[in-house]
Amino acid sequence: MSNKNFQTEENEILSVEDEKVRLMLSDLKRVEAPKDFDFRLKARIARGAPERQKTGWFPLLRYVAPLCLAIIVLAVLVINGLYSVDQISAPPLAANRALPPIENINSASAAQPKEQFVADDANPPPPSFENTANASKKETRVFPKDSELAANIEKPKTEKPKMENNGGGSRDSAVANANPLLPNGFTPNKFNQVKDVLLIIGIDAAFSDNKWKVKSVAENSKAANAGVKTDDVIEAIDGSALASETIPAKKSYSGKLTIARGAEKLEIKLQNK
Amino acid sequence: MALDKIEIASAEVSKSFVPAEKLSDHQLIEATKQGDETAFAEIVNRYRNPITNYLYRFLNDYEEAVDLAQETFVRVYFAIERYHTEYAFSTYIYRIATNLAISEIRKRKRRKLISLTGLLQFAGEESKDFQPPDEKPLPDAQLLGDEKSRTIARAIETLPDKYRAPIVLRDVEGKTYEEIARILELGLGTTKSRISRARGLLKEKLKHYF
Repeated sequence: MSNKNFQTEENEILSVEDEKVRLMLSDLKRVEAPKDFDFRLKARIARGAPERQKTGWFPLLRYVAPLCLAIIVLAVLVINGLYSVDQISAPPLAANRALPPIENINSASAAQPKEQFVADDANPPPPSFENTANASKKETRVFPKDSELAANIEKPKTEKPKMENNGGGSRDSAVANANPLLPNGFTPNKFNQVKDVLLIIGIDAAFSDNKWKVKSVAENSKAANAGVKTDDVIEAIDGSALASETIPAKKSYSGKLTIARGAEKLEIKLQNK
Repeated sequence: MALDKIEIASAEVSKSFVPAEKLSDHQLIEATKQGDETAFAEIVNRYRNPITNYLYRFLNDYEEAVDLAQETFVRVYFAIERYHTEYAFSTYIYRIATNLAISEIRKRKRRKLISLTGLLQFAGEESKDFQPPDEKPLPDAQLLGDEKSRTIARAIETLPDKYRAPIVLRDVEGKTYEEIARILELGLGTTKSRISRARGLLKEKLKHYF
């Protein structure tokens, strides 16, 4: 390293090596702009603002646009998923009517006029217990008086109705717990109204003095065909004594009636037509 | 009233008769703001060669230097309303050129980072930029033929950005420390230390010429 220093125009004191570097750089041949510089510059100015200003939003859009697109796709998927769930859980129109409260059935049955049991071609008589049992073997319930309910039960099990009136639970559990052998309202492990049971087989009876006395028998009904007559006293059904207005509900009935006709007692079995 | 009109008219006549070459940079800028295209042409005429030379020494790429020099003037033209005369115009235009050059260097680094040549490069192999050969004769072909000049240019190119700009402005363009500090928006002491450090780095790179 030499001790000799150089002083520049700005009183800058440089070492020999620094001065050599400075001279090497300053001695580089200067480069000039090309001859068509002005022409090309005018063309660029005529094109408009610099590219930097045109693409100022590009870095933002590069990240924001895909993010927005992803959010929209996710939102659509979520919305579609929610709607599909709602469609699956949508209640069928008559599902709640499949298992109405017993009180409704009883009141509806009691409100039916006696003329309804007058048999004719237009209004066939109610089914017998055997018919009900046979129908239950096919896992279908056909009630001429309430065909809508039967149609509802025959719907596919894939439908999942809301069971608001049955205390919650799915439709599958409701159908499984329902008695497939009896009309609606005749639930096993509960008591059925004797009057309703007798009405189903075509007997209009009145309960007095702890006895069920036949007031009338519908023509062409199971009871009429089996020989039940007016003023007969129905003492038991399938061995269950009728000592009150209710009878323990059973899964199925064989249709055997114990009748007191005056002094004699008869065992009558209902038959299919 | 009539005297005012005469004075305005005489001022316009005198202004129109002053050749653009004799106007200062600030006067030319004001004339450009008024829509005088010849004034901007004079600005271009004054600074196209210094800016091109500065960018060429900064980037060591003539075509890129010319392109960025034109971009510099385009930006000056479209931002001329925002120019304030608190600094010299040369400071303003060199600052724009420096910023463009630094941006270009960063773009080169990104391109180099994601280039396929980098992905396909084997271990131990020297990194090379894949560029097709340019058959066009360069205006400074004679300069590139000079081995020493080419070595110096490569040495400058290898300097970090923060050292490259001040040393080129100082030793190539001959700017004062104060002006360099204003161009680079640095303190005077920082500017001097960076120039000194740049010279030290160049001494190591060019030591076989001493």
